[in-house]
Amino acid sequence: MTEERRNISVPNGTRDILFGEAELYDRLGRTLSSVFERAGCRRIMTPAIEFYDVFDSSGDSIPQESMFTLTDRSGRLLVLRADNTTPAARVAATRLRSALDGDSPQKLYYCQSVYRAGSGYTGRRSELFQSGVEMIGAGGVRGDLCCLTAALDALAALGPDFKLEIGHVGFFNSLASELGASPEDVRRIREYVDSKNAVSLRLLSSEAKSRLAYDKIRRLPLLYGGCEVFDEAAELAGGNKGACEALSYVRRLYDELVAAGWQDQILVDLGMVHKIDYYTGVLFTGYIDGAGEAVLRGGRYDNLVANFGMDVPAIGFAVNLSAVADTLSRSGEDEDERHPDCVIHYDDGGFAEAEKLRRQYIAEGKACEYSCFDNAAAACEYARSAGAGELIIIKNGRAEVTEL
Amino acid sequence: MIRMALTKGRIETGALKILSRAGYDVSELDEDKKGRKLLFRLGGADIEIVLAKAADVITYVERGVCDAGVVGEDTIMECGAELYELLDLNFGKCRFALAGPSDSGDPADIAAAANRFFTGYRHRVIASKYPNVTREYFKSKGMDVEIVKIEGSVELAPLLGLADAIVDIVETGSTLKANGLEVYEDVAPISARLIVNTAAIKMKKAEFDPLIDNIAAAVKADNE
Repeated sequence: MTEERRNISVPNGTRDILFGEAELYDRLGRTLSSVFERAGCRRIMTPAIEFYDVFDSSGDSIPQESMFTLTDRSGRLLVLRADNTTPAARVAATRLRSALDGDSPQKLYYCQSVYRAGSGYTGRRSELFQSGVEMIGAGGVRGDLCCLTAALDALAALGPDFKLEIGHVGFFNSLASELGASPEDVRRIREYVDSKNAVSLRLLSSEAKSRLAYDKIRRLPLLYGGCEVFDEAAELAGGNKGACEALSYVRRLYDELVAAGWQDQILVDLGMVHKIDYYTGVLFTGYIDGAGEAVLRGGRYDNLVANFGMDVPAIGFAVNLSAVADTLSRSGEDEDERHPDCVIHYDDGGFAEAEKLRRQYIAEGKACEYSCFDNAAAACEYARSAGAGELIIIKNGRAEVTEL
Repeated sequence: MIRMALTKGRIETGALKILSRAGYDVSELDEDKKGRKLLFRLGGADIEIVLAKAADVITYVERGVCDAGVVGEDTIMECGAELYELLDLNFGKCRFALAGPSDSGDPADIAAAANRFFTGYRHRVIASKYPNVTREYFKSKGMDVEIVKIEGSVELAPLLGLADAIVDIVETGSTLKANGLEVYEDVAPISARLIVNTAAIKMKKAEFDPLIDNIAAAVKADNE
């Protein structure tokens, strides 16, 4: 009975990551950390568990049902870190308050996982590795360009073929405000726009007076691409002040980045609305060749830090390391087997001599390990199967080296 | 290269008709030529076709091993995947409907039965092959129901007293009628859809644009 009830597999949506793949994660993390450090960011680490209130105060941006919750000993509700931006905002508003008060933007980066409860067997992950940047106190177009260039550098560090797409949350929001729809309906429409679900948008029924507004929303899913998009978007924005402002702002960022030499990487998507909805300005999404999903997401969130008592602008993004690692390991990059340069076996009493040799090898930068077997024959067998370069047997205080 | 997954069977036939009208050479997939192969290349275009079961089409496109796919809205609704649903291909049309017993086919009787279903206080049991679609539908109605997943011949469930009503795909409604069931309410229209991977459509925009335009034009020509 107890035997059968023991569950020794891993929970849905999690996995063990071994060897080459684990090293790949490590390498990717270090690559991005170095990109972020050169962009002037400092590393932070936040707890894997936070009070529920921290995530609750970020609005409904992260649905409650997708958070893992637990309670502490006094019964207070905790959640597994559901997102990295919210804790960074909390850190900024508490620990970094005086620096921010002195008008000094805080550029932070992290490399840690987030936990999202998925539903059923969709194969979606509950534990996602993320590496990202939050620039708190960085406002305006200079703040945006500062963060966008960090995102471009991050993508460039992952591979030669990548795209960064920019949009603006104000474009959808302004057009949606013309619909005269309930917040509930707007949320649904937002989901359709997010999934470029042109069909469901077409099927929406609209009253005659708002038909024009609905027609505009229906064109959003296809409003992506290069600079040719701006003309059509301008037509949609028409007399809507908010949409026009959002559009001309995206145009400005686009022009700046193109003029600065990023013309092959920058795209525009005015139908972009991120799932998490604490964003207030520019939005962006990054893609790399071969990945089946976006690998980078970010945007400006000027109201989030205020929820923690500090009214400062902020912008940031996260790279989905899990998606990047999947892409790179699918293209077979991690199939490297490891072989020790040297395996050492010693007879009883020979350890001191063995250790001297081992330290010498290690100091030379070689991979050198002891055999854990009792006799030389088994050690030899092990060294051969591990593909070692040489086998050293220490007998009566003397080392005997065999090339394999 | 764009790799496109088609749902085997009726949707495959319909999709090939549209592709051929859109100007692509689909001869490699002719019934008499294709044999048991599952991977094909369209003549004269850099497009590869994969044949798969409906739910797998969604998985392939969501995971990005296929860039695009043609699949019924029923499967999309049930699977709830992360992908872009770009075009209604306007064939394979039917609907999801809520159906249950009715004294007769007379509209007044049906309306009365539906009214009884929606207003009673007893907990309702719904049988369906599509538990997610069913859950979403009743959630939108603010009704708390018990859903029983059935694998085939869902019409049996109300007859056997297992369920008060069913949510199922309805084409003509004749199977329902033959079993004394009538449609209480439509849940959602269904047809074949063109779905695309969220990253591929951005990374391969130059290849995708003409394909989407050609397919959209062919669908439009079909309707006229």
